[in-house]
Amino acid sequence: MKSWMIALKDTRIAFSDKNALLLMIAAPLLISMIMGAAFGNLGDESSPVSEIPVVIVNLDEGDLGETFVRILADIEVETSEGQKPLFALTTLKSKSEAISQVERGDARGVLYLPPEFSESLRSSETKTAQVEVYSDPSASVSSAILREVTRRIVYAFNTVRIGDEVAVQQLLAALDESPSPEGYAALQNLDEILAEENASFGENEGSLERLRLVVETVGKSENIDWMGYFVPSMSIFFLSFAAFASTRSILEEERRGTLHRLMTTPLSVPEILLGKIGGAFLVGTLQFAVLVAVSAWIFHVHWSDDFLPLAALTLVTVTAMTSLGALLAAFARDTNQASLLGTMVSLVFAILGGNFLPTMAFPSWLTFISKITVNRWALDGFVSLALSHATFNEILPTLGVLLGMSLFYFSLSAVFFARRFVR
Amino acid sequence: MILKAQNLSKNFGDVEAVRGVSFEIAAGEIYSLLGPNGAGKTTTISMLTGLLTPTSGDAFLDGFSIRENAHQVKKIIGVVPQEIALYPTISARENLLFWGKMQGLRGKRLAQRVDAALDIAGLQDRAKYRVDTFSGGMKRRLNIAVGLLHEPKIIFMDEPTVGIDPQSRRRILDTVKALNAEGMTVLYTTHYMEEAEELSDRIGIIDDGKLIAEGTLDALTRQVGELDTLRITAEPAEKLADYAAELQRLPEVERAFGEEGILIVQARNANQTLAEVVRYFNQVGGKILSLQIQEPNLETLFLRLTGRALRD
Repeated sequence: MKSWMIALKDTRIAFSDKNALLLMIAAPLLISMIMGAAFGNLGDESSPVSEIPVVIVNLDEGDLGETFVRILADIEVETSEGQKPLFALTTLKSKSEAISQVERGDARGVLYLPPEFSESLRSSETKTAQVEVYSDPSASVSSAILREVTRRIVYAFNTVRIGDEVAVQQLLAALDESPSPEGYAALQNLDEILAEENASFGENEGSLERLRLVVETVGKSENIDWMGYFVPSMSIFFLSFAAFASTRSILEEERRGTLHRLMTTPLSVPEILLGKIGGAFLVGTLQFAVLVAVSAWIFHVHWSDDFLPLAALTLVTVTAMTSLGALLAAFARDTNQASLLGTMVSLVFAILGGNFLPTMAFPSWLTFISKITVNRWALDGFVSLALSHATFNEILPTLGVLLGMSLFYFSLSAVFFARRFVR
Repeated sequence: MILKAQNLSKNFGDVEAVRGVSFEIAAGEIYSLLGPNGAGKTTTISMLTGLLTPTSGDAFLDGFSIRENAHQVKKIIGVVPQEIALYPTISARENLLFWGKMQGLRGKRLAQRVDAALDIAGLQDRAKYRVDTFSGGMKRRLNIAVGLLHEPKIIFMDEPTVGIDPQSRRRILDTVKALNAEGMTVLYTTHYMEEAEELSDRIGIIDDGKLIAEGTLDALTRQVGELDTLRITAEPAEKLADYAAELQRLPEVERAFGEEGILIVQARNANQTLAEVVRYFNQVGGKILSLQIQEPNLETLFLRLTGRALRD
């Protein structure tokens, strides 16, 4: 009971410190936002997809380019505000200018039809026509739709005399990768449009497999939900700071004399330490819960499909980080040394654990080393919940490893603290 | 006896911080441990309050051994540490509520005791203010109030007036006397001789980890004898040794010597000796720059017992 009161007192003190709040709550959200923006998908659409801005650069001197563009323009999507075109097309004559628009974020993609497009398709020689698509990698949903729709039309052009059964299967397979059901719904009327266009196209002398699709991304990143990655990353990183600072308060109390005063009250040393570490755990849990809630609200970060695995992983991560903080505090000579150690361990573990750079970019030896950190295991757990929609059972090994780490760190800290305070 | 310390010793590695200290305190007494910094006062208190385990010896508080019944001992003691052991970023009242809970107080009694403690500290009107906005004296008073919250049978006060202004110091000394008047036993450590003289029923003088003298103020000063001390600053300074040798011959003078540019004369009758000393200086053409008469006190006792001043 008295341990609980110590924990509550520490929590009250931590949350009444405005500077600490900035570090615990505001900083991780701000840095996540900056990193999300830098890597890509901040502000990416997760709402129903319609009127995707696409720049058409149609330099075709014949009529098939026009047909291609008309197919794109005719595709409609059902939205809450009624039928709307899937793409909002604008036309430019310069490919580089169009690509610049994508790079600036003014458009999601560019469709480029070269001057000899119609001629190549109609030629009796074995010429190959080419359609080029440049898409914005940060706009994962709309880019995927543009690419797949274009691929579908290209396939239809090529297979007009074979029928489109295979193409539909491929399209559906491709669409399965798209996280947006609205994107799939948007293509429902594509077959109808293609049937009409193919009928007229088939009357012309088009030839098989004469049209080639070239897809390129324009920008800096792959199709990853970076906010789903960086918000947990920064939350874990700043949790380590808060947990280390909270456990360091044991030394701060020792320096100030309040720890010795506590030891003259009818409380045992284990009760006092339990209260202090419990306080750090409580502060960390509240901090993480606030970060989850606020990031879900502001950035629409999808942390997990289910509450239970998210809660379990949060509690276990906070326990592991608090235990590591307790070990550092127990090991350090004084608050200054603990502060230095804490900062060093926070930064090294964050870098190793993939909090700043995805571990997929690490060489294999570094990936192996990264697994000694709480950060790595915790991040893997949160990312698998957020991006791979893992279930509770699927994250059980991660929970087990983090609990094992907690036990190891806590046992060591208990030994060091006992040596320090029982004299 | 509410406290009986028996041959308490504490070693830190090769360093013997406390060496076989024994003393007793009766209920309702103010007992002062007087000694210079590093004498072993805080280590002794730390053992008595359960912060340190004695290397050897034991002590009993209200019959409970500090070795065997530490938990029981902690229930009956109050501690006012030398540091300001408070939480600076919460209010005075929140501090008192927290420490009261740590002492096992709850509900109405806790609220009553917090109010009483604020009264004792004279901080009722500042109860809601954060402690880090307080002056040094206010913090010291609150530090004492925390120790009194649960109405302990004996309170240990470790140099509670260090580093504060004379007004706050006066208030703290008056508080200690008032608490004692209500029956509280106080173990008070200080290196200020005046505080020990003013407060104490009995005084233990501690130096280099050993209790070197103990008793009431009268009994201790009697150990110095009836000698008064004259401290004379005179010119020419290089002749102090000659002056001391001559003055040693006066009938009332017990001892005369020069120390750090000051002529020290210990005599049975300071007034009569003073006249002789002035006459002597007139005869030899010496010049007295300043003169101070010191009656027997703890300072002179400490000087006599250790050869060093109390504040060294």
